[in-house]
Amino acid sequence: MATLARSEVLAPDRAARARPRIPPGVGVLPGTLLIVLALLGPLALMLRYSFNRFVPGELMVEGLTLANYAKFLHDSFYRDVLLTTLWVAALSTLICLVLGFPVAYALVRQVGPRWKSKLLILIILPLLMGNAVRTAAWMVILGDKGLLAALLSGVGLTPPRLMYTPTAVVIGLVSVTLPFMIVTLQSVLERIDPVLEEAAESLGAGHLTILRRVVLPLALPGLLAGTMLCFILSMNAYATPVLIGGPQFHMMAPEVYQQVAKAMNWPFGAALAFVLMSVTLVLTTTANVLVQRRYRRWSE
Amino acid sequence: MRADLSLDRFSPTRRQALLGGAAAVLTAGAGREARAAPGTVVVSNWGGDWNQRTVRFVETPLVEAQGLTVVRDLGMEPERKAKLLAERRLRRGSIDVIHLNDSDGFEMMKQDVLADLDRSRIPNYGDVVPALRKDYFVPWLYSGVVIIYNKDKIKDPPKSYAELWDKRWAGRLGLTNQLYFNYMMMSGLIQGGNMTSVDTGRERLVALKELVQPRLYAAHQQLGAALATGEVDIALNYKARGLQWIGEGSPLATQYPKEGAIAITFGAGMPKRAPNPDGAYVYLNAMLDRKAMAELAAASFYAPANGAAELSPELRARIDFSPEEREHLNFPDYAYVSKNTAEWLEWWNKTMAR
Amino acid sequence: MSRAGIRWTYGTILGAVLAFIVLPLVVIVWVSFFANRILAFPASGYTLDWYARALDTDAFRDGFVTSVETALFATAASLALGVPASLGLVRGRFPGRDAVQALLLAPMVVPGIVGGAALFIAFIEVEALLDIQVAGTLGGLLVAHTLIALPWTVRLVSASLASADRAIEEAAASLGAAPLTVLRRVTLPAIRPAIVAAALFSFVISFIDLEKSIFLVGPGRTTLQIALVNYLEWNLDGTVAAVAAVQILIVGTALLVSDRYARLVQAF
Repeated sequence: MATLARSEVLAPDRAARARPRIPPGVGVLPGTLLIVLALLGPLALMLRYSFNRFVPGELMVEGLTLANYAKFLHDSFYRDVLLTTLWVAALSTLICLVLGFPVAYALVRQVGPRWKSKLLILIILPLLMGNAVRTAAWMVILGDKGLLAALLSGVGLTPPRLMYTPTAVVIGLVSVTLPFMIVTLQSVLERIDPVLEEAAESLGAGHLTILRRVVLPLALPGLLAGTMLCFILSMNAYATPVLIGGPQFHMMAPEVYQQVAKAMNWPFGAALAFVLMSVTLVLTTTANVLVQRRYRRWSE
Repeated sequence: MRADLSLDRFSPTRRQALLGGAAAVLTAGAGREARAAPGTVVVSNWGGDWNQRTVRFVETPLVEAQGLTVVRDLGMEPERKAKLLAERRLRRGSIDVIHLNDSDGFEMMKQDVLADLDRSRIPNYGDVVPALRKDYFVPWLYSGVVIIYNKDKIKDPPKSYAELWDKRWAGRLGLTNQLYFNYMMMSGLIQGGNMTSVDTGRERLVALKELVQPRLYAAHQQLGAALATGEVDIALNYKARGLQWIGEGSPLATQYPKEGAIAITFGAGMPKRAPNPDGAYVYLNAMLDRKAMAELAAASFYAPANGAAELSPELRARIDFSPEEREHLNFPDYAYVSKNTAEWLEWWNKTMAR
Repeated sequence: MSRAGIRWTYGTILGAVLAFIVLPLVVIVWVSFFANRILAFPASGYTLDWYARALDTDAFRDGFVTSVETALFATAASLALGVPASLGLVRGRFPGRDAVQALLLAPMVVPGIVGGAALFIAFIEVEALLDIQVAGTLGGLLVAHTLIALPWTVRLVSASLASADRAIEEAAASLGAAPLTVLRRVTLPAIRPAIVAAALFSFVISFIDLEKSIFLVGPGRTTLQIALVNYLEWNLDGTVAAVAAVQILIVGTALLVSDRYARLVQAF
């Protein structure tokens, strides 16, 4: 039997190979261009503003000063605003993780295929309300004359004051970020072969052990992605803290708006914006790097 | 599953068409909006009920009836001010008439945004209450910060701002966060006797916080709801708001403070590069129309700036101020406010709104 | 715990969390029929008046139309830019690929209010330099919405591409198919669920946006979210609830319909 040379086997493709190939990498160009022009450019402009001086009644004065950042560092009020933002975001994210994982797992493993789609839509649908209406709904639920109060007093209990508290803000944030967590986790869990869990079960592992030693390590990238997404959304939250948090509750994004639009202090508002974004970026990048390293170790 | 899945949506030609269409939209949008069509008046105003009333009593019967088309930019005043200020350096103007309060109007004038008005083109200006007149501003509806209280629960209300510093109001007083600068000027008024003593008045405010622990609400309608449900029994807000809440069924009454109510005026100005100044003047004059003013007063409970507005005696007695009360109205020192408002906001956030 | 016990536990958690997520939706629709002047429990009566009022308000009608138009455009643009970008990220090999990926996902990290304000001042600068108006135009708004939708497409489509089976593509190529043909008839159909999901999320993200649009709407134009917030400044009554209910009905139906064309389950 004659053996075929490699070139003969591949001959039919010669015509195709003679055509110039467009590297697929080119596809990123239009999107990247949009981002550079519509995101990086404007942000660079805002960064430049953060170095200008603020003169009351004069708006912004061209300058090159670190005064705005210094103001943030030295003023305990603004540091507290950042801290509040951090712990609210962290708490909301944690709750999303704790609630979201079992729900995602149930959707993927426990629920029949007919229901899966419908339940997923049910989870996404409330997002369509928009933050303004959703927070109005929470006002009606948690308010002093709201649903919860009516139910509790109906059975003789005194309803606690929930409106305009950090608790209400966390509830509102969880309500908006939980769907994102569930959807992200669901996508990752979907790709895990159930055979692995069945194998572990047949070897005698209890359910929690299966979760801990089979599912979680494989789902780690998705867990990370979902956590980072929820954390970022919570850090950047504007409508929810403004409408449910009340005037005595301060978070970073509303504070940026206050400075830019109410106090007309664009330099300081810009500085606050960059502090917020830098902190968020540093935290998420660090988490990313740490988890990637751990994950790589596990999968070796 | 269909074997031949239609992917027309993602074919290169369709994609190109989409992008080409996008470019067309972008440039079309740019051209069309730069030019103001003749017969169009672009108005910047608050939304909600405020705008509904403006449309109903002024824009539809008096402006649009004259053949002008009104195009609206509705939103909260911080955004509207910020947008107008940013546009200062451009050659085009986008707004013909901007609705503002008096302090914001002064600030816009100082920032070189508002034009001085030619009063000969606003015949109705002649009837405007003298104390409210300004070169750059058409005053429209005004009111004052008064004491609003539950008349069923409080039989002897405080007759002056200063009387609120009393332990019997502990936990029963409601304030609106939006009016922070009014409250600061109020304590300055009590402490120093004039409208420029906010610095000395601050300690007074802190004392109020410690003595009475007032409840802070984000906006007027939350305070209204709190008064209606009995969460608070006494509040400091515009007389017009108090009358609105009374009209909605709350058992409230208003009390003019002895020191003289801090006045608030809403009105409009014309930006310098207004695309249609002729239309703007028609609009500004229509705002001051006697009949429109009367209807607005009845609907909003604000007092009309036009002294010749045809109000029934009962209505006038309810919403307007008596000559003596009007005499004692305290108007802000606008220059003083403009210089300090940013710092006041910060102090308020750090001290009172905590 | 027995298998049944496990199922029961998951079922309970699923039910409870679903109830929590859906609660605001249910309450808003329920309350849209209340006759109370200020939204409170219990209902003082039931009425359809708020719906009449909502449909009668120009700002809501016009805002709804603008929001839908903007969302549709943002979806199309996000797919047009995001699908090629995902292909480039996953299949391409070029220096700085990680940086480009971070860049394409960056709009998600920027708070809406910051991005919107920054875009506004950039538009003003452009106008000051080139005398072309962008701020307050429809075009400017569309750019902003495409920007916030794009990362979602990139995320969803990249994830799907990364786990797609390349053997089929290689088989097609070895049978003589040109790269574009492979793309059109093998790759894209394989990731169709992800593209549908990307379209869905792009639409939702654009439709619900508030903060990015605040500075970018101009005279005669508003989005539904901005109109709602403006309204809430003055009243907390059933009108807002009625608008929300109508909005959910219309857009929710569109969701259900699009689900029939691609199983969303495989999409994410």
